[in-house]
Amino acid sequence: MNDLKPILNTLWRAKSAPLLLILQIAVTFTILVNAVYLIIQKEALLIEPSGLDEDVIFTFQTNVQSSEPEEMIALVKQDLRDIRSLSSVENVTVMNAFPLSDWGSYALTGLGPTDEDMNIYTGYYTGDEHAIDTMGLELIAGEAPTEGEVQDSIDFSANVTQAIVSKGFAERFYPDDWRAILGTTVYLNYEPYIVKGVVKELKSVWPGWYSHANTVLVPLRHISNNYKVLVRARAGDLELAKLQVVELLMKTPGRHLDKVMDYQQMREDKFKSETAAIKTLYWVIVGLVLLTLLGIFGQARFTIVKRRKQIGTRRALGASRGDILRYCMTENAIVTFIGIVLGVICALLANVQLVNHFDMAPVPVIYLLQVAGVILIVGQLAVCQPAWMAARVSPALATRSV
Amino acid sequence: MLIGYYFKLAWLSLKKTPLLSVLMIGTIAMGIAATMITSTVSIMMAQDPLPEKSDRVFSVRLSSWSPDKAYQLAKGEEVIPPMLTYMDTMNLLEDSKGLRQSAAVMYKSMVRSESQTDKEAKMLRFNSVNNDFFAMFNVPFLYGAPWSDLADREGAALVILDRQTNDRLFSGANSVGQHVFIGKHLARIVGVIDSWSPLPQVFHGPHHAHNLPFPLFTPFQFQVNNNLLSKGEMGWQCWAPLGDGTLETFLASECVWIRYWVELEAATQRGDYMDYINAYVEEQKSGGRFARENLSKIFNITESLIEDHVVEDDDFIAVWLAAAFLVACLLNCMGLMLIKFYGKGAEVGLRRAVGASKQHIAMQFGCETVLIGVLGGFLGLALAQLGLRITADIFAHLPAGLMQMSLPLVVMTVVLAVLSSTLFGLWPIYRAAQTQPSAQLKSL
Repeated sequence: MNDLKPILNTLWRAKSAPLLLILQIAVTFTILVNAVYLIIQKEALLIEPSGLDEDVIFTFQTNVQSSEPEEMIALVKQDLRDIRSLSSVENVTVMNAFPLSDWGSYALTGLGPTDEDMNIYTGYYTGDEHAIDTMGLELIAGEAPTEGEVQDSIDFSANVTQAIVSKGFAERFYPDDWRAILGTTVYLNYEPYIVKGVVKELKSVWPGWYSHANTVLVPLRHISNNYKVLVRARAGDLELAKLQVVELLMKTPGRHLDKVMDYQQMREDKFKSETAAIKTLYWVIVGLVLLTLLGIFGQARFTIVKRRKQIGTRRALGASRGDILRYCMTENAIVTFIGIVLGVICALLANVQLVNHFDMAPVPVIYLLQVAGVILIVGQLAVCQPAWMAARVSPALATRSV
Repeated sequence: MLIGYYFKLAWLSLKKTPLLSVLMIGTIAMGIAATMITSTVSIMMAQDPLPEKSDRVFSVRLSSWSPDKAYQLAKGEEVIPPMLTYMDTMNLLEDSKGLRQSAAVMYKSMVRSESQTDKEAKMLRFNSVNNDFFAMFNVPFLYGAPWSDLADREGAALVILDRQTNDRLFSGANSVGQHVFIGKHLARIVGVIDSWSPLPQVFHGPHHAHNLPFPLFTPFQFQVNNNLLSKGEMGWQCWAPLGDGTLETFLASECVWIRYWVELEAATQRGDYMDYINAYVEEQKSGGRFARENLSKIFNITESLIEDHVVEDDDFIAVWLAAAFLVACLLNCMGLMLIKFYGKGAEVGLRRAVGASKQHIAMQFGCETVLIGVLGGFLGLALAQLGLRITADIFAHLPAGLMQMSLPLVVMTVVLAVLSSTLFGLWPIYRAAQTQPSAQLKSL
């Protein structure tokens, strides 16, 4: 550590080159922190569970070969029975939308019918008596609707008086004891519903929405000319189930099938732009780390070439190779450290801008420390070769004139 | 002129230290390429899709929402629905107060040509529009023309295909007069449109802004007459419960589901059209509808892109990141220049000793910096093209048209490289020009 004083002195006397490096490290640090943070935020979105057993479920949309309400309902029920009887299918339900689908409904929600009470929006699902089992939701309080309680509806037209809610929803209204919501009345779009059950997790259709964890599931068989079906395959039979269901349905003349997709495909589809952004950010990070490596490497070589004579003199006066090596490494660490300190300030300022303009959450301190550690290590790696070169300078150099 | 000589010197000097030169040019190129790639994508995403008339084509929005509740609140301000009810659409179409007007709704149906079997039918998406739509949005026709006003009113079973569908079903031949099945309806083809990819696509709202247009067009009234509503896929919202599920109920309800566009002869007529809309709202109010405060507005294309948040904030984050990356690259390059020019101290000392002024030295190194900038710019351009290819692969869900550099952007790339490298070269140049002749000569 007795190197510290001469190092600082040297840096102070020849400021320009180290100053550039400090600035470069500061800018790099700022970008790295924010890029890493963006990646982590977006990746969290990608892996956020929807509440469903995604690995055994696929969905599709199909039409009803009739336009008479009575007949439509009968046809849909027949379709569901046929699908359920397939060997590879465990269960099947008809819903209005499902998590990660491209389209969904929401309802204005509150504990009372007046405007003051109705203050949040909630994801709104409809499903028949098989919906909870098919999705694989965990019912943590109350009970699921029975067959008799499910109403048939064409385009949401029906009068339902009960609902299952997600735990997130229950906690939103009863933060102290979410179980208290059982049996109470909640209002959806000004209509009263009695809460019959609570499921542990069921997310809305819109990841990143403020009300993403709050959903209700209403016992309705939602039928339209483009109704949506969720199929739960037996474990390991997902692909087989897809084939069998498509084959079965296509036997009906005039059948339309659309968007036969399992959850893996739906996730890929839903998060295309996030995945692309993440890939791009990884490129940015790789580029930056390379650039920092090169920058530090170039600077270090330059200073050492400049000081060959001094180094020779020091060696002649009895400094060991280790001493020279240590000196170079310490000098680099100090420059990098100053750069990082400056970088922390810039990163925080930049992040404040991001938070203000792009509604992002502020960066946690832990990231700053981690990225700082990475940059320090990269710096030390980059300086290894030039420092080694310096250590190899022969003491005899000091005796020559040039 | 010494300039030519200086450039020659610069070239020789670059060749003398190949590794350092490659590093310098490479870092500039990297930074420039990153900046230009992100800028290209952002600029293309937020570009004007209809530049010749984006100030006189308007999205009409009416305050038809519930008496009890605003449609939406954004930052404390009431937002009105971006779509209209069927009643209002029909009334406005009936009045036809603009130069051109069209509804726009999407639906989907199975489509096959007459020669294909049911099994070969494909699920395709439709633009349900009025015949003015094509002239309003400058849709180019390969064969045929839009349907007539009469067909428009009656909702005749007519269809216009895009080029791709026509290639698939009719091998690219002129198919006007042929028929295709839309579900179970037999529709006559009246036109085929040429390649057309408006970016961003405004008429179906923000959800479809960066998609390519739907392949088929049918008269809006045809969709309504035959109940071809895709309620599980189109946007629709109601503030009052629907009695039963019939089409009649839905059409007579206050549910909003139709985007409505109008083209005026000149942007200056905006006020007149707005007066007409306000008068219409007053008339409806006296009939017991439109219970809310009248906030009805018309947004021209440029405004509706902002209003509907088509321009994603994320694009700008990327541009800022890339710009910061460029700064890091330039700082790196500046450090390398300092090294380089320091190494030429002896040469400078000699030139100063034999009578070169500081300006001469600055000029010489200035030329070297410009040369590095130009080379970096061209390499950056090449990298940017390569990068855009990769970007097009990564962002495969976006139309490829977003990933093409326009000529102004190409020129800007090189200019940016030269300007920024020269700016960042000022300090190293200044330092080099300060070299004392004596100090350097001593050691020679």
